[in-house]
Amino acid sequence: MQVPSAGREEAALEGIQDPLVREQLARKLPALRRHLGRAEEHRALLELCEELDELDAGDRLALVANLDYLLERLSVDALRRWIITGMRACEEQPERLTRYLRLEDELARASLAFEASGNGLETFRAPLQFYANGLAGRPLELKNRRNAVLNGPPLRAVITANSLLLPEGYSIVDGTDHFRLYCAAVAHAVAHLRFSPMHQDAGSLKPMSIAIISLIEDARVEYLLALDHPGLRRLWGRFHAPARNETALTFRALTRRLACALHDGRVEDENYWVNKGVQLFRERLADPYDYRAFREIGSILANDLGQMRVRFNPQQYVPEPAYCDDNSFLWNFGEPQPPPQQQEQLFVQGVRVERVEREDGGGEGGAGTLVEVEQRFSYPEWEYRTQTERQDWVTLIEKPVQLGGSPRIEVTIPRHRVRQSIFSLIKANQLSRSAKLRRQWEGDQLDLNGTIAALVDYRSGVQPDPRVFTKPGRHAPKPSVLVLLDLSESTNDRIPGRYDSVLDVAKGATIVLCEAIGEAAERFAVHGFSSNGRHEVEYFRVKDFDEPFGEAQAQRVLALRGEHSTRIGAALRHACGLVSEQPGDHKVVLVVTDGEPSDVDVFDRDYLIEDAAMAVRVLRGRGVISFCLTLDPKAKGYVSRIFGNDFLIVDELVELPFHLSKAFVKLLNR
Amino acid sequence: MHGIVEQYLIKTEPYYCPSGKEIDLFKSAYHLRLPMMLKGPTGCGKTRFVEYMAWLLKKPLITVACNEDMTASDLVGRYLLDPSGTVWHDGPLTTAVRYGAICYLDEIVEARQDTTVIIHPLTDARRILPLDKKGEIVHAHPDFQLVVSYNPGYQSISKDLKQSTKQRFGAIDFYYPDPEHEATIVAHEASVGHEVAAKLVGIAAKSRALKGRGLEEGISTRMLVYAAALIRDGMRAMDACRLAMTRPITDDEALHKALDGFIEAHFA
Ligand SMILES: Nc1ncnc2c1ncn2[C@@H]1O[C@H](COP(=O)(O)OP(=O)(O)OP(=O)(O)O)[C@@H](O)[C@H]1O
Ligand SMILES: [Mg+2]
Repeated sequence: MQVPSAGREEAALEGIQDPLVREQLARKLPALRRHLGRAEEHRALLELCEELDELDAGDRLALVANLDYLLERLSVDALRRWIITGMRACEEQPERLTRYLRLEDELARASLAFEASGNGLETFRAPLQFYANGLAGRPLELKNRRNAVLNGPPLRAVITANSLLLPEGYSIVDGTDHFRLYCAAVAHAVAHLRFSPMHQDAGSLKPMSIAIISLIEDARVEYLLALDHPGLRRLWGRFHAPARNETALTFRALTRRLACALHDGRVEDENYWVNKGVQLFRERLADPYDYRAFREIGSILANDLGQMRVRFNPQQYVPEPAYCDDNSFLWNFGEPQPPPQQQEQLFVQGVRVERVEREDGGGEGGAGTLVEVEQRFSYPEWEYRTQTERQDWVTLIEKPVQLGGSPRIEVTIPRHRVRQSIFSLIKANQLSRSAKLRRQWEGDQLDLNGTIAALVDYRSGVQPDPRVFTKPGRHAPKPSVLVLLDLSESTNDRIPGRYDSVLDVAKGATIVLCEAIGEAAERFAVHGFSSNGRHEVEYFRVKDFDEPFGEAQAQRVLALRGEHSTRIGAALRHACGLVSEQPGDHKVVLVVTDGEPSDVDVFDRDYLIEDAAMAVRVLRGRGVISFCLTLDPKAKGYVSRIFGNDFLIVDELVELPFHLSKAFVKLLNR
Repeated sequence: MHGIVEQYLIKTEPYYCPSGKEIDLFKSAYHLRLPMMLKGPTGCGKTRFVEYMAWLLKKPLITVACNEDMTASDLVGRYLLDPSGTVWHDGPLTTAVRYGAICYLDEIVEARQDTTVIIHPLTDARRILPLDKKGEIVHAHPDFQLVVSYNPGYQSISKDLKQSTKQRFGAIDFYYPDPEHEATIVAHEASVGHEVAAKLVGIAAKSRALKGRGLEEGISTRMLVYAAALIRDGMRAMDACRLAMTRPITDDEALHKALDGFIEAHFA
């Protein structure tokens, strides 16, 4: 665990306004450390404490006093949600909030237990992502929307054409089954995506009209989606429950009642306005696809509310129930909408890669280096214009992986699924494949064909072959696979909407694979390369054949950095030499890359492509199969020129671990 | 027709609901005795289609399910012993070749490549089957046709047919029927109402969107027929869908949750 030094910590506390809180916290921090796993958690806690200014001085202190108890049960994020829940539930009841923060309120304990059992988006991400893709019938990326302010209005989902931002967590006041709540939000979003016109001009519409028209639109699209998904009505209905006892006449209460009545399709509400809304809505259901007609209802009802002098505060308003989205999908407010800030804080799906600053800066100890000194090799290159080979044209340098200096990256895989499916994939394909050996001298079972042949020979008076048994054995020649990672600068590119890079994902995928294949890792090597002109193709033997995969090897994978360019031909030739030294007659080089070959001293696009194609032919000639996994969606044109049919374009980065493992297993069995 | 293959004649018309021109295409191919390859995911109606075509053409149909352990002898035949000595027994392929049947090799990719090559001389202009062990060359009966099925599946890197095998066949692509037809098929096969069938088809469609993104393969028509039959016999829809559709198709808990969500969305 990396812990900031004492000096830095004090400086970090400066941000906290209240001197009493600062003092208490300084005293408590050493003890709290055991609950704070990563440096980030540490920072997050301090940030949270800075935000506590929203609370009364007494409440603040009470909370800080309970931190030990709370953090033993909750992550900092969950703690934050727990506080938000209290503030929302005890709105305008300061005494109750005080009791809540002192854990004296019933709800405080319920909400604590709730948060402790993990009910945030991350808990449900895997099944939800499947649910969303299936229901939408296409990939709909789920992203995490973080609650930026403690005392703000509750968060709602944000729908865009290809992705859905969901709140990082709902609160217990929104309902108890949060998986279903998220499902309801996804289904609601799918209804909009299927049936709502996007970004209608808001023009001069008043905020209240926009709110009511959106509410009617919610009901319309839900009605439409429920036509062939009747179960969704019940799913949404669960979250309308609190509105069924609502009697108040505020804007919030009235709109909740209307939304609920529209969902239930009943007109028995005591309120004239609500009944009128349901009536109008039902009349127009004759043609539920007529968006305009429904929009009219919204205008009428908003007008009525205005005349009823119902107060509306657009800053406070959030669509209800909790599964609804923020309506931004429906409207265009003229000026281009700044992308929601939360985009930057998105969590990553699949492999989660986290940066951890290394305070000690050293790369010593444990992570023994494989290549102690640099070694130089010369390779030819293919000049396609003259159809000749330039001898000793490229210098390739094997270098040790530099462990220190760069931030260490810690890979965690929150989605158990990734690992599990790789395990089962590998188990199903039995890397150390057992087989029935036929025609054996001895064994437990008779070999049917051999026995019959022997008896036939015997009857015909010929000397029979006595090898008539089968016995279980192993396929003798074990294959060797060398994974060759492209470490060029472009792999540092951030994946849009996420905070990790292509290289991070590739590293994660490699580690997951190495860990999953266990014993078979010895038939498996991970090397990487980049190039800086023809005199400097760098080559890193990150993990070699016959080396088990352990902590030190993982460290080396994590320490890899993306720099320079992609002169792939030389790297392929070098890899070929290394894999050829392996025993057995089944050898594979599996390239993972993100773009086409290039280098600083080459200006003809085709040159390095043709050279790489030649390298692949050379490999094939030496009995080494090459296969390429590329993350470049536009790779088709050149990658087939290099690798023939032996490539796969991975368009969904999240799926890289799967594809890498699948390709690996298939190549092993080829 | 020879008595041996007569037993392979299909007596009653199998139910087959076409989704395109496949019946006419196949008829023309049979006319030329062109070897045919039916490509498509599991449980989408390939086997049913061959049965239907065999019935329509009034030809016997001999089906062999291929697997890894299958040897060439399992297809062409072998010597067996009887009290008087050794006798040759034709394998299913040889029977079809000799007496004129349609031979259907199901999941041909599963067979090892040394097994697959024995069909090569049968599937080019020669139309012969050499029986090495017996020292006989069987010339194919004029009615004989070879049909294989083949599931291209995931980027088949390792399990793939050789080009020299592929290029001997004509091919028809199969996929799950469109929703309307698929519901009709399920309703017919399991004797359930169209509404129930349509719901099951809706669930399947969602699972098919997850192919390659979690699921190796979507829920097949065959599974829908099973689930529908269970519902017809009184099982709760949720239980039937789990038993016949979502539990067999994957072991992944996260996927189960999502698939259960689809079931709930359709069955209120
Ligand atoms: N077009 C169709 N007409 C009638 N029934 C169909 C049709 N398509 C599918 N079915 C139903 O689906 C079931 C499964 O189809 P079938 O056994 O033919 O699948 P398959 O494609 O041969 O699968 P596999 O590749 O696993 O052998 C059939 O028994 C039948 O009930
Ligand atoms: Mg909405």
